[in-house]
Amino acid sequence: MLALATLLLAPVLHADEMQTVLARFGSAEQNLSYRLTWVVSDARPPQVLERIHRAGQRQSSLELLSGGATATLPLPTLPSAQPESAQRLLLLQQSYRLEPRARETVARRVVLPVWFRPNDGLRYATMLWLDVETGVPLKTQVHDSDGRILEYSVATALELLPDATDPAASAPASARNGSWRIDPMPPGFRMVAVHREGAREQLFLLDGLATISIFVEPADGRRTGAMRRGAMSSLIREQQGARLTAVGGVPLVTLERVLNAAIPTGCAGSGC
Amino acid sequence: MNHDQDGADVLREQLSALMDGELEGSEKAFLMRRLAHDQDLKASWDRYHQIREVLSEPQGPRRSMDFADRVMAAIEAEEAPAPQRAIRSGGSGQGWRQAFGAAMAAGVAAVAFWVTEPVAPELTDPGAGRSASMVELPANAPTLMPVPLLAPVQRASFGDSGAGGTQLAPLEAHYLLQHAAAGVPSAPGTASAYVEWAAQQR
Amino acid sequence: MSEADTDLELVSRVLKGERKVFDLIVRRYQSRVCAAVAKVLRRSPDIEDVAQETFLRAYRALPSFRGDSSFYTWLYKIAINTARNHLATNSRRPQLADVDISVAEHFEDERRLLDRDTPEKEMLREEVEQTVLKAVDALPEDMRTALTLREVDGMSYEDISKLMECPIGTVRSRIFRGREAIDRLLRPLLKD
Repeated sequence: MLALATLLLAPVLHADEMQTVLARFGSAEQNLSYRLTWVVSDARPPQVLERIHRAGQRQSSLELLSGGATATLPLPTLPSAQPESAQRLLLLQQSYRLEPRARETVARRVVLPVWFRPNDGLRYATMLWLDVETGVPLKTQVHDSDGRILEYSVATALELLPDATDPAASAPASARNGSWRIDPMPPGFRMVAVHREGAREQLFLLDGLATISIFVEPADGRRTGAMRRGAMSSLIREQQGARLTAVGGVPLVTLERVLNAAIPTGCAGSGC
Repeated sequence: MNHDQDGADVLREQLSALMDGELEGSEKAFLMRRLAHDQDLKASWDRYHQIREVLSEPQGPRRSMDFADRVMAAIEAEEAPAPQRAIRSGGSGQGWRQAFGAAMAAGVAAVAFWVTEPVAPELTDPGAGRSASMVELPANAPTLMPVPLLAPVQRASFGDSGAGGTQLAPLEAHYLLQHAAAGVPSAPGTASAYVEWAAQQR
Repeated sequence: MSEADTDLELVSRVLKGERKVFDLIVRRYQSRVCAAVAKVLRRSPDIEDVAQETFLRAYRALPSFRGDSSFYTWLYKIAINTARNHLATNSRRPQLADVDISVAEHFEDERRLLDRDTPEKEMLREEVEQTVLKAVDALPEDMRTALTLREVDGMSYEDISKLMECPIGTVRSRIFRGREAIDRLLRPLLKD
């Protein structure tokens, strides 16, 4: 009887727990420092990577552990590209149906699997196995609309690091407005940051889960085109004197839509 | 030159054409007869199809190496006689009745199925099934516009190189990494970008 | 002339009593049937069981195949229907998977939930894939192009011959020699 009651109540319990874990997921990158070791299983050969993430700091690092030699990649972050947890969750619920599953264990930690089912064809279906304690995803599976797996990675270890937040190391706030804008913005996406480095500007869009960057540079006649590796697509075009490189964990049609809607900020509309 | 070797090569070349649907006439008829009981030819058929599987990149869960063996073992275990009927039906009403009778006699279950199109269910019904716990949107939140189901994207080649590839120039890879590093490690595509970086380390 | 004609020929032989010819059909479509089932069942560990059931149903139902659609289309419909039936029957069953990934000695590929390979077979499969990919890269350009157009783009010999501006017989030969070059490396790996 108890077992039956548990089974019947399970979806309700999962939904309650999901809200809690999602809130942690939304703020994990802001508040936590950790070392995550994981395997990207769909790569050939599988790759073992380790990332150190520092809360609120500009630099993380990525280390390649497989294949013999180790290599390190410093990862400059855009702190303002990590939205507040509440904003992120709002965005998420506009674009995805969130469905929890029963708890599992990954990397010897208890996780809550959550399906992020997209409401349209502009983004991929993703399953994240969220660490119940911290909200950090310990397993990720990304599907296209045909159900093919585009990306599949599993953590083997999560180590929380002492909080070494140094206010002086925080990045200055990025500009709110770029020299280009996206109008109309694809449904569910919001521009959350603009970052400038020399002649290149990076516009950063988020739908709560998927992200898109548009790099804007002066046109120089270099190769253009489309490409996809796993769940990451890129589309490069030259238009109106600029070279626009759209990159994101979304289908190519979404990047196409974004570039079709990209216009210089000073322009009122088409024909500018 | 070894005559047997030549003969075996000819057969395998025909097998290669057969698997592509490009073998005709008496060559095809002869090879089919041979294929039914020639273990070497069967092994070549199996290996050629494994090559095809790797190159045509079926995505999704991989089937185990002995899947086909298990299927055939299950069929053998059922000990059903091989289903008998000519498949070209024009005027084969009698053949159909014979087959039906044989099937009934063997107690083989009839299979009923219907025609459906495979569509990811959640993408056919955008906006359906919103949970009651959805948060109230602030007044200035962007409106969710219904978006028609978009066709799956074909793998595009980079630049004009023709039949699809994912070779990246290091310059383009730099954008992937800069985007992936921008601050949301759990976002779809991040792992793929890191794999690209890892691939460049080799 | 097409792959569908080859399928009809194989089916015809099975229906004439050559049961073992069905093995060739299974080997021809096993991965695609698994992929079709996976579309419906997603990450279920039952994918292979349902794929196996698909082939069993197809075998039993072969007398009813009239040849008015291609064999693969017919097989595909059985796969989708079998998977949907499985989903309907099993939808109330809670997920009970409890996975533990070991850390130090060797990491477990989560996909092993979805198939039944031993670690040795899993390594063999990896090796097969690597061998094929490396061998294709090493092929002379005309063989690699012909084989890629055939296997990746699904082109007919006639279309390939137009694209490569050579006779159809040359296309057939290049594709065969490409396969043979790869097969020479695969044979020692797959010898029982």
